[in-house]
Amino acid sequence: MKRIIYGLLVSLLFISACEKNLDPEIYGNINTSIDFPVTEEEWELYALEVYKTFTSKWEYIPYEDINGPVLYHMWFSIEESFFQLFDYGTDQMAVFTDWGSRFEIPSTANYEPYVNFPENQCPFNKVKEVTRMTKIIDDLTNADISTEKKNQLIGEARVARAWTMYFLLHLYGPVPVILDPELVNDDAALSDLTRPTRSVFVESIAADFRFAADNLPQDMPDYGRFNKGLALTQLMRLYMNEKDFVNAESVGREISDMGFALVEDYASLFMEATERNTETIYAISCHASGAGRPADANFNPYSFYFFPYDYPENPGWAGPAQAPYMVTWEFYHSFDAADERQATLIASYESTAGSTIGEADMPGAIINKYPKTSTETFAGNDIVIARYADVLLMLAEAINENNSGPTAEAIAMVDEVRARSGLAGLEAGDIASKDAFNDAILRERGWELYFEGVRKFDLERHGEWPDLVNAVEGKLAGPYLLPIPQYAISASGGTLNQNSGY
Amino acid sequence: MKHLTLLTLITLLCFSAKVAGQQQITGKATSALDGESLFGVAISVLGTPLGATTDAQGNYSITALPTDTLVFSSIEFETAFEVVGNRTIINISLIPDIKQLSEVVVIGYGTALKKNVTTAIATVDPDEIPQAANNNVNDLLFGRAAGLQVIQRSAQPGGEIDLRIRGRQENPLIVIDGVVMPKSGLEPGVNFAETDGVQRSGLSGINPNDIESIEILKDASASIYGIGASDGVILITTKKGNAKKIQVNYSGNYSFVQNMPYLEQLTAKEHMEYYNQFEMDLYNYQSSMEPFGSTPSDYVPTFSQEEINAAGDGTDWVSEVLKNGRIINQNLNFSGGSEKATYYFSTSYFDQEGTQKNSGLNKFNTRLNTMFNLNKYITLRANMIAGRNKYENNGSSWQTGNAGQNAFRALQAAYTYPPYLPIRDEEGNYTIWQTTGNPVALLEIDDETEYNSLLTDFDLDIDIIPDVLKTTFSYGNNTENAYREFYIPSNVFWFDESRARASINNSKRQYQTFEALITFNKEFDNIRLNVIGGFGEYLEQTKTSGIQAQDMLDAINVTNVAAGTATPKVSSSLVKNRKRSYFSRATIDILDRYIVTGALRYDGFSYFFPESKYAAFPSVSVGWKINNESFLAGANAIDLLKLRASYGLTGRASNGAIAYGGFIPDDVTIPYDDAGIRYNAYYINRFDNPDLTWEKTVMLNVGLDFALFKNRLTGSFDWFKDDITNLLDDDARTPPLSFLVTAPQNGGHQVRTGWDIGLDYDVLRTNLYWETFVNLSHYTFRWEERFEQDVLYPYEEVTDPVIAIYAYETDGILQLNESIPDWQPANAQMPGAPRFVDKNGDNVLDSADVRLFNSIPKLIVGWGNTFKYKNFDLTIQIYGQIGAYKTNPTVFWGDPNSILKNSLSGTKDYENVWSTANPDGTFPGATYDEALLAELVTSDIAIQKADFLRARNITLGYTHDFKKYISSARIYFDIQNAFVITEYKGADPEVDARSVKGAPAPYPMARTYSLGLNINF
Repeated sequence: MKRIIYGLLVSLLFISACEKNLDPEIYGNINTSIDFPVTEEEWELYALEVYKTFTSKWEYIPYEDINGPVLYHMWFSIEESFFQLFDYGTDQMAVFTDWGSRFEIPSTANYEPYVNFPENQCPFNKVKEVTRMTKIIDDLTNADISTEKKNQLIGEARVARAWTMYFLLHLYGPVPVILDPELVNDDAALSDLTRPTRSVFVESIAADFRFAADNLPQDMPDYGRFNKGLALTQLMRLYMNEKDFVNAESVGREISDMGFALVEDYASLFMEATERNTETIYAISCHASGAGRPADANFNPYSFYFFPYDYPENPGWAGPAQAPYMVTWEFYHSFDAADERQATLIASYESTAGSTIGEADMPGAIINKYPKTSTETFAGNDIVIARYADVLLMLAEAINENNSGPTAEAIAMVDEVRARSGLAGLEAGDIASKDAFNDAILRERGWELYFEGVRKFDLERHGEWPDLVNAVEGKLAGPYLLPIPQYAISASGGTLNQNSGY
Repeated sequence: MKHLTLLTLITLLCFSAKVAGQQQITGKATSALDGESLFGVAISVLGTPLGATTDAQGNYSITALPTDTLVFSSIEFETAFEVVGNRTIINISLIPDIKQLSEVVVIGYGTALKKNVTTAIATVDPDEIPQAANNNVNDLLFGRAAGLQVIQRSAQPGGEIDLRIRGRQENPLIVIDGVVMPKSGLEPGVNFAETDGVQRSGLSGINPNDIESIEILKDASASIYGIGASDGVILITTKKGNAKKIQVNYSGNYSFVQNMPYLEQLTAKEHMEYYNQFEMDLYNYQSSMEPFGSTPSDYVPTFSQEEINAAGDGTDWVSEVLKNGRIINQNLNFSGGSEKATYYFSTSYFDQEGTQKNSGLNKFNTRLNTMFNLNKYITLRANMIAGRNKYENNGSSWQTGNAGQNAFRALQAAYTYPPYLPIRDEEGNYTIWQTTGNPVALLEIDDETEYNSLLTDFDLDIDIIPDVLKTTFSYGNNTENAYREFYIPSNVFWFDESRARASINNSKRQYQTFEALITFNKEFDNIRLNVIGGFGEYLEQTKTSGIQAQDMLDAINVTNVAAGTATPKVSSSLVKNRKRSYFSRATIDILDRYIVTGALRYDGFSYFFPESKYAAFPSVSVGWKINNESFLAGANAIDLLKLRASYGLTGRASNGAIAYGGFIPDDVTIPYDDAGIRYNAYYINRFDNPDLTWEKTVMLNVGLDFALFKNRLTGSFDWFKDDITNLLDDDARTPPLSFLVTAPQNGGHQVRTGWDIGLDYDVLRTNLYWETFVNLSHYTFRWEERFEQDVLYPYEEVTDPVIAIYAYETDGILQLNESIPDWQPANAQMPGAPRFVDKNGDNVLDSADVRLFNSIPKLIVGWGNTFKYKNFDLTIQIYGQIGAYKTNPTVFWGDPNSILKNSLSGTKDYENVWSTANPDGTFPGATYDEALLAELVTSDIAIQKADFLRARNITLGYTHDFKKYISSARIYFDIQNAFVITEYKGADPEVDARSVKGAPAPYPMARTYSLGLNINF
């Protein structure tokens, strides 16, 4: 008996003295103790994270709080998306108030209330993504992989960083960002919200796009990855909006030399069957199997925002006789009768209730720019980001600026775009002067590029913000820039100044 | 006692000769616990002044009629009643009243006499609690203990019930017979992000009938559990057998379940009238027409008078979804044993049909507790509980994943479909209202969870020196498996399409407790010493997997998801962590007056770096039994007076707080080439954080225990303070430019202070016995210091309450022609808008005008009453809270914007809405849209007082003792949730309701009528 007792006592002591290290067992991710990334494939997986905020899905969820998942939006989501931020508030779009302030604010362009928005609802949160991209770019620079692959991945990451900064520049002006890889985990630097100068900020964007343009091919290994044309188009847009028309023209000519050409049918640009064509430089590659969930393919949910719920086919979520995204009647009627582009808008329909809904019933015309052909819930039409018609119109504008008036080359570029939609060349009055030509280009851009996320930039560049906007009933546009959110101003301890007008 | 005896003699002399048929009864009173004779037991004849007491041998003698009832009462025993009948000898075995002071309290790694406990521990005895309609241990605790708030988060069968000790934010650590249990329910969810609808309670594998006692460790007494004890500890002891002849108990009951008053749907006629009224107001306001402007109104009603006249009641959608339910609950247990071995075996069956169609719970549970004395020194205990639950999940609650009305399930849809719409159209197809699925069609969704659990527990006791030194080894393992099947048939329109959709999710969870313990007990002269030392290692592991597939035939549904032709989606996860502890405790009791306990626990957690892994959690408590001091020797009224204080440290670690950095595959895939190629990018989700360590809570408690007037009044008062430092936040804010949105961090300081009182008073100790108990709790919980990166809004103070609602106050509705105050927000400048309150009178509405609404109740109340008369017993149990505010998102069912803009169909609450026809309405009119306010904070229109007082149980029972075959039987009738007194509108003040697009429809609370029978063989 005693032996048993003693034996057990000893074992108890043994257990008590046990000093195994209680090591962490963490699953579902790769611990820092493991060498990662090593292979070229691993480096690619690491680099591709830069695309997350450039996908078309409902949202991403970095964490959950006591109220549940906290939703952040991609640039190509719905709420606080590039469209809502750069098109919704413009003169082309009708005001929509049924879904609360998240839609009312961007549709009326009264950005004032954004100051109180929490971090997840403010695109200002994307300053964090710039830091991540800096880290990825630096890690790739030190990666032991082939130079070709390395430069491709760095190129893609630099497009992501520059594009993010370009959006931020036009939302908030120059904002603090981490571009020095030494500082990506330095709490002091990460808390310093002093704004850089505009020139430093712009030069950094330009350098990123330039690197990408020089290192990315137009035909990427997978369709839908950032390509040379996108980098150049974005670089051109940057220069245009900074009114650096010399550089803009030079980049525009570089794009012209790449062999893009306008397609014959304007509407075909936005259709699923013809979405890959000679004109589209870059588009978000979508597929109808996508339902906006994290693991899905990119989706095109616009039919739900274009059509009223009493529309007989592909009904949307709002209604009756209205939808969140509608163009104003003024814009609808501004098209020339011969303009084929107007056919992407719908002015009347037979409702499911059996009545005819027309201009008197709807706050605006229905957009049908991305007609849904799939039998799935959502459409698979690629979302067009950059196309050659835009480049032609920008190039014409740059040439006009650089030559203090329209040249024959510039006029031909605009006319080429018009001709494709069944219109005659510009009238004499439109090419009579630099200003007249500029005005004609802005109008042409409106008809050509509506709902493509460029209108707000154009209005500002042409000095039409906010006046042209406020001519529309219900619009309440103030400053071009959004207010810096209060949370960021508070966190800065006073170093981050508010944009003027707020 | 002498005078009682004398009185008895006199009465005997007076009455004995007078009444015919009287007989002399003799007998002996013994304790049911140990068979010892009881001295001083009072015997009376019910309804007469006759009485007697037992002598030193427990014998008594009394005269009574055969129809009389004898009442046996003694302080430390439960009162017994015996009908005389034709007996002349009545021996009585009295059952110790365990609430009395000889009560043994489980304190963690041992027990103590209640009178010697030096910490704040509350005990709940489930025997006294009606269990008919309840399937969960947590159900038993409503209003039962001071300092414990029990919250019914969801009323669905098996729905979540949370336990909050002294306002702590998480469920406490739960230990069943020494085995650490999960704090939360295991529910795998649905792979479609837009719906779930299930909030499951923890401890769902346990049968409440098997519980012997529940101890709630509220203060530093929890320190001995160091690990995860910062939210307090609940120790659950299950029933065991004892060395007696076999005892058999059967209990069974049937309950009828009926929904409490809930959101009331409008009739078709009301719907149309309200629609016209609200639309007219909005139209006239927006067009500046009369009465809002000067132009005559040209509003054309949407519904014509003929349509309204013909409308009638329309479809009662809500009745298509809600119904009455029922519960069948059967329990059978056997216990017994010998000197060598004891056993307790129970089996139970619980079947609940919910009060919403397709909701229910079917639970089967088996318990086996055994104990073997292998030899003089070694005792082996082996216990197991096996459970199998099958839940039918309903379509209540609310949609998830930021979805809109298109993701509504049946109950929300019922309040969305207009009553004038028929269920099916002329062709027999389900009608469709805008983007929402038909409520009746949505009931065809199959949604079930099967849950299995097995709790096993082996303990080996070795008495090294009997009664002095003992070692115990124990191993416990709790394994649960939950499997959820979800299927939408192809013809059911939900989330924008009619399509076959299947989801199968599986979760498996294992908790493992291994402990070795040495206990030393020794009594010296006037000094009692108890020392324990131990080692423990704890494992937690959760595995999940899931699949989502589409487009299979309905006949296949979830049984063969490979039949789905659309690309399936899959998921899996594994979480595993370990904790290790060394612990010791010493208690010394000097002169039966002064008790000192010191404890030390040293814990390690696998997710922290070596240098931060371990932390020590010391505690000390002292008790002074003042009643045993000589200066109180003469104070007979005082049975116990004990002053006690405790001070100690507890810790908290978290599964979400991992100190090791890493790369994680992003759940947001990167798709290219249409859907041709998808990459899962890997991103850095954490940096190494070697400093990350335990959250620490210093608990201070001062308490007074007392028992007065022969234990007629007993109670405790406690004051406490918790200082929480080094708060461990899984998702603390990061510096503004960090690419991590959140990161686990330590920081901040919170303070919780409060008091709780528990009182128990025997109001009547006569034939009519009446005991009442009251418990009151109060606490405050505020920040002392924030996390470094926390950014406060201008209206927030550093030391604000931890849980607070901030909003602008409003005081009424702006009327037509009323001048609009200067400070009225831009989107609230119309008749029908709420009138905002400019608190500081500066004519500007800004952060200084924001009001903080406290969401912590000022007082939490539990009140119980037990009456006994002859063989009848009646208990009434009430609980509630006072002084808390809560955001009530169900008010938006009654928002006029719901009917006009959100396609909801409104509720009877529209009678409170302001309109030009109802200027006295208290809720804003159709002209005002709260969703457009876009100010610093919202208005207070959805904030309501969450005060309530609920009659949890009213139970009437009748007990009869038998002589043959059956020893006793009790029949009872119980009403659970008989009434609730509250001003809270719509749903219940207790249940959760989340703010979603449209409005949420939580599972309604129900009232349950139960008829039950208990038989002891």
